[in-house]
Amino acid sequence: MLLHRLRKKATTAAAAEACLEAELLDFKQDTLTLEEKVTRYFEQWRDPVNRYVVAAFGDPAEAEEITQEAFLQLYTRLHSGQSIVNVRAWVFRAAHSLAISRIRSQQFIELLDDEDWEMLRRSLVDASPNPEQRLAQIEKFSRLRTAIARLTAPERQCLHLRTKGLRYREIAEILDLGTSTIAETLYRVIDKLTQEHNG
Amino acid sequence: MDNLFQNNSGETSEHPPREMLLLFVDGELQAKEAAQLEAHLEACWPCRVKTQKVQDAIADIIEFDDQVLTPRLNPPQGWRNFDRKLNQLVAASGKQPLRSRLFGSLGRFLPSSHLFMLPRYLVRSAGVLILLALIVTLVIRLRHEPTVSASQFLANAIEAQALQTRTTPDPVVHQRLQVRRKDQTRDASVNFEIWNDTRNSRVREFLTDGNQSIPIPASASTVKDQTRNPGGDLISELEQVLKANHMDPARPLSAASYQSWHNTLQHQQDEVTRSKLPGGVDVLTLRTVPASPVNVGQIAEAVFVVRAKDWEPSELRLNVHAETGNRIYELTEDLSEVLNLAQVDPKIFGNETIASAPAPKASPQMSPASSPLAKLNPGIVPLVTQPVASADLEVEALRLLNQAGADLGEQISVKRTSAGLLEITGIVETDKRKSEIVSALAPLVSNPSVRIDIQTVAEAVAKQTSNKPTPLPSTRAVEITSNTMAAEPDLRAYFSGKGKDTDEAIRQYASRIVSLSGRAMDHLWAMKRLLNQFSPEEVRALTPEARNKWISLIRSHARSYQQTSESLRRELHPVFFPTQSLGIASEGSAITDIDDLTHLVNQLFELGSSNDRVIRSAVTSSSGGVMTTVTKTPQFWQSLKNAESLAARIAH
Repeated sequence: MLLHRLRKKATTAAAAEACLEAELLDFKQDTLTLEEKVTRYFEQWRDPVNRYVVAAFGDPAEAEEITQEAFLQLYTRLHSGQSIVNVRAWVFRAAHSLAISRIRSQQFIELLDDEDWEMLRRSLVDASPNPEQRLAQIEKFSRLRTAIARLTAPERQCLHLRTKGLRYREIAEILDLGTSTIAETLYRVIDKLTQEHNG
Repeated sequence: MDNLFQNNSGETSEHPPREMLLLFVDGELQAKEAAQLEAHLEACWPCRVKTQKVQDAIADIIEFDDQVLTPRLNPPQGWRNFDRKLNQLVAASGKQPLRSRLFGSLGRFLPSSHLFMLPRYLVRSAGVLILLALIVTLVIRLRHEPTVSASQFLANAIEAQALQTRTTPDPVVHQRLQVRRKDQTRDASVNFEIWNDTRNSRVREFLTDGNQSIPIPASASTVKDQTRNPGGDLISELEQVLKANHMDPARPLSAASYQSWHNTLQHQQDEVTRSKLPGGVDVLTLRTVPASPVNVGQIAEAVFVVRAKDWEPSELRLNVHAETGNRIYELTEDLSEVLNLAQVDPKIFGNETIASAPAPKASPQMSPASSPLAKLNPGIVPLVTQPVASADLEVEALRLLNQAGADLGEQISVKRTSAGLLEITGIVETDKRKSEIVSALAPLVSNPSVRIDIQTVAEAVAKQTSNKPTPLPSTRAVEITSNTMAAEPDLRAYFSGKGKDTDEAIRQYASRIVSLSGRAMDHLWAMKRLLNQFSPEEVRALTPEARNKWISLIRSHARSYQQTSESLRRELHPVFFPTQSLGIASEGSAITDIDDLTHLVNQLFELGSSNDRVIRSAVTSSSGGVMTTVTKTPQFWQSLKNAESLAARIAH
């Protein structure tokens, strides 16, 4: 069953990647102006990029500015005739670099402090059709929250880039690290989160 | 050896290293390694269980991400400024050089970036594709001149027409048009002209039939009875078609009218082409086809032609769906000019009988002898079209300004005059900003009850020298003087030893705080202006749609205020309130009526303004230590949270 699911997952991932590539090829046709292409890229990837910047660096107001700036840099780059093979990864990389220069000097602000968490926990309980399952889920979320808060900055960045669907080689380019380092970091993240999960 | 796995240290084992399991799950193994591992997993229970644990951990992370993190990571400003920024960048970048466009397209196919290493077979395939694409691109480029997007086409055409009226004092737009109607049974055509006094919102239409010119009353539907002219039928029919499709009967051949229809389409295909007319004139043609099937009376296809040199409209073709097959209406421009009102015969807009040629006094394109009005029917009095702007229209204007981000402190006002006009006036800093706002207001440009007058500072100053003094735009002056600010001791204590220039860190921090507080106040002022725009009675008299639109505008500003204030608190937290919990605003009960909304907005404005004063006093002036003491109190922290709760309640 597990192997079957893994095979299916691989097939689905490949199909998704093929769709993405097809979409990119479509954008590459000269039916759209550069402005329209960048606008489409923006509409398609602004949310994942923004979520990555907030989750990894922790400043929602600045993240929105950074995300927009990354797409404006994309326009400038393409307008000058320079080539970009993987636009999605390029934008993530641009946003990451901007975030490093603008936000890193500040203290990382945890997205969910204790009070936030308590309110969220209450709202999850209230919304639950099955209280027992919900409590188990909240308990799980609570442990994950603690574990994620303990991750180092590179670990947090790797994790949030991976959850946005980026492949190892893409994450490596974005963070300017080797692919094997990404693999090791991600494994370490999974290991830490699993340990926390198991108490 | 094929059954053994190697770990990072080079040691071999019959079980794969745990890292390899994650690579396998993530699809990052080479095909051979993946096959080997897959075969192992089929036989090895312990490794299968470990793999399952990795899968479970990933599932938990995704669940946490979806349910806990993602809902909290929405952008505070809702991406509202991106289009404006991109437009500015596009305008500043200019036209993309041909070399860049060719090599840009080529480059985007070529794996020349160092970002990723592509497999060799992909490189080879890409090479073939590149050659084919290059050939196709070159053929297409040789056959077609590059054109613009549909939105840019319309924006340019609207701006060109608006420019004409802006540069003429008291402008009167005069158009002479030929209208043709074709269907399966008959063809008909009529010539008519329109005089549009945009400043005073007066419109006059005349049929020109051979040697006769016949005034058309305000409602073309009555023209048949009054004039017994069959051309009246066609004008009446056209007017109904235009109205049914949200176009402007007063300016049927205009980009603004076309855009007004275009904006109603949810999905459509647009095509812009460049060609030459038989006379050698270069034209650009926009063809729009709605993607969804249309009903009877709706436009199934529209073609709008403008001259390439000045973006002036020359032709409009509407293919309208009818019960007995489609009907085609063609509007062709014979003459278009913008005159000063003083140049126009007063009888055209007056209530006097026009018995002789109006003979525009100074119209180089039109000699008095050629004027169709020279042969107007005597005894027919044109009716005065005096449209009145509604409060609903005022709300729509406010909404359009909001979309352009022009309701956050720029000196722009929207008001209805005693004469029933909706006046949108303002002074902005640059030509670009002016274009953006005029473009945002495009749906209202052709509305005869709307007067738009947006000037740049330079234009206002130039006007000031010839007219009475005009107030210049107010700017927010913020002076950050790090050596005098009240909160400096706290800031210095926090930033010293942080590894960078303490003075610079304090200055940047203070600047950031003041900027955030100012942004929050911008939203409060915007809410206050929206609230004061209408009396409670006027709000109740709005149509439900307009009222909801107005409330939505207030709510969107409340939401933005809440988010900006949260960002502000996050900045203040480590410096002034390290022991306090950040917390989030609670929404409280929902607003029940307009009075409730008014009360809450006023309350929020008072509280927010007070918070802003405390913050500014702490980090911008030398008002002593009182304010910085206030800034550090739990009461002030609570006051910030209370303001956010109020905002959350309004936005709820």
